[in-house]
Amino acid sequence: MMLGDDLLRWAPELWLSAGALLLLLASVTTRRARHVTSLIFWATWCIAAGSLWFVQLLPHGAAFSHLILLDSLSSVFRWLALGSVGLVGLLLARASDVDPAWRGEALGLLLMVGVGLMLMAEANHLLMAYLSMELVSLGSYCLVGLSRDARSSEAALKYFLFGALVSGIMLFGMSLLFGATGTLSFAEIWNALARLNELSVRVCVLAAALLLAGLAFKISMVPFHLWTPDAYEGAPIAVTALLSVGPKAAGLALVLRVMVALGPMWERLAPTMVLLTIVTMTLGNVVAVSQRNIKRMLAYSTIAQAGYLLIGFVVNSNVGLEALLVYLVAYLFMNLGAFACVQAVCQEPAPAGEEAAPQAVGGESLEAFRGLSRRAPALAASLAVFLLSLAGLPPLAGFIGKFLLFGAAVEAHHPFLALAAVLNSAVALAYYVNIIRLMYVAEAPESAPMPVALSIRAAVAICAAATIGLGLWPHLLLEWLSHLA
Amino acid sequence: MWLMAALVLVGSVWVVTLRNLFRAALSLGLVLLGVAGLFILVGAEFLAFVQILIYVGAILTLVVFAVMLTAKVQGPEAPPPRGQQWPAAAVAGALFSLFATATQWIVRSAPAPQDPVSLQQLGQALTTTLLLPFEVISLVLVAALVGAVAVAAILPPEESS
Repeated sequence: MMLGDDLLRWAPELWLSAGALLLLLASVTTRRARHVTSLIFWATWCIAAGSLWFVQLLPHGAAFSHLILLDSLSSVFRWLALGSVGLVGLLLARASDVDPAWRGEALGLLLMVGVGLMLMAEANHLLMAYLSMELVSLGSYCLVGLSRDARSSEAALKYFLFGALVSGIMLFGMSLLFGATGTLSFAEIWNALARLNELSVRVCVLAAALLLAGLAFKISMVPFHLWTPDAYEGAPIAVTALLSVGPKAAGLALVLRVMVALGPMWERLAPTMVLLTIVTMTLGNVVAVSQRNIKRMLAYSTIAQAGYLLIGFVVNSNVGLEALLVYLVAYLFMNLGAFACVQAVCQEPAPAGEEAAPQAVGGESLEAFRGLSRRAPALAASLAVFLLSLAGLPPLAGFIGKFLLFGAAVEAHHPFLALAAVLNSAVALAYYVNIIRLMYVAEAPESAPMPVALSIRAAVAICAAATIGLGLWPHLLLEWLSHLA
Repeated sequence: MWLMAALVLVGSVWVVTLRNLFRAALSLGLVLLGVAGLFILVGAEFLAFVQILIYVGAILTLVVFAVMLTAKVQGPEAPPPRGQQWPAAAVAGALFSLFATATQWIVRSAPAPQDPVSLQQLGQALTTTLLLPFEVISLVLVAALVGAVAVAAILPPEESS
């Protein structure tokens, strides 16, 4: 296949990269001109979305000498990556916890992370898998550190050290796999693994475990979740929102790709994976109940959500895959929506004429949500919708996803998995409903209506519409997914 | 071969045990040189050359500069926590034995030596089949550089005012 064809089919990523580089250049010359950088960001995003729409019509298949695979699966994840980048861009536009002088760089890094997320879902070769993960990781380390808050640099450092260690572990796994099979390409690894003898299989199980450890870090799966609460708490809220959705989705995509390569090993890895899935959701939910800081609570909540998402993976069936994709789309909207509401509340601008630190009014404790329904009824109602959807109540999008996931677990003869997931949903309801109780029942400390920035309103409105819409008309999403497959 | 391995081992023990950061950095250089020597012994001359050029030449210089510029930060008042060393050593030893036993198979049934990849093949691969990763690496580096400058330039509020 000609290089020009490949480039055409890879155009969305090319546009994003070009936009990111242009944005970085522009923010050097126009340090304080926010409009220029926002304009470049949105122009890039729209062009990338347009070209992504167009490339769906082109034939699927491998590209760039089989280094990446552009198929229907990567198509879904490309939309997910672009969607999360766009929504996070809306949040970042009004984030008061990102140093305004560096907003252009933040947007540029965000676009680069977007390219990395897309590449992770397309990787068909261990080298591409590693490079795309590094692109996402390095971009996110820097984004986490872009706040003036002292916790931010600590969070970035912790995230970086943990990430570097896990990268090393993963590279060791890859080198073992290469030593045992003599190839880096996923398809050839599958072939080589299928004819290994007993002794060499042991090496490959070790290699697969090390490789999966690196991916588990990205989706914050137990026992590689330790960085999550600290990094989420210290990062600017918009970046937390990105971390909770983008790398998780792309990490799951890469797990799916890698497991295709490691297919012959699946029988040996499955029991551990099922166990870790149950531990992940249980630990996330149980610890989340006792959190008082909203960002930490949502961090543990996302660990639990990662557990639910992993169900779709460990059942290892087509039904599971479809359920996973449905839940990921729902999760994108409901989780980003929840973070958008949190940003609106925690970064409430100080009343005019008063000198106050950016976070003095709102703060990040759960107390900031007291009586929100009387100060900002629309925001409170949307947050309630997002939280109930995360908890999995009908008729919202989260319910459809969870219903399909649990159904897939039962169908694959994993009754314990389904039971654990249902019990966990009950625990999760406790802390989600607690916030709703604070918003609607508790007295407000002050009664002035809360101003909400336009871009955050837009993000909340999009997410709320999608969460309710996908819950009421799930067949639209299912048809789109089956149309792609 | 054994000499080089011993050099690497002794150097790496020094890197983690020496209290003086500057000496630790120099021992790191010893380790990197030893690894380059091992590469030469197994017939990977190009890799050894790159190892010396990049790791010993560039990265070690950066490390030494970083150590010398931050000499004020580290001092006798911040000793490393002693209590964690033995558990860490135990975990490292356990991991090593796990890897050593698991990789025995590869060591024993080493495939027949193949022709080493020539520089010409390497260069051609980088501009044809491996073009995409080559370009993506440049994106990764730009992201890392710009991000690192941004993170370093943002001062906490009390220092910037």
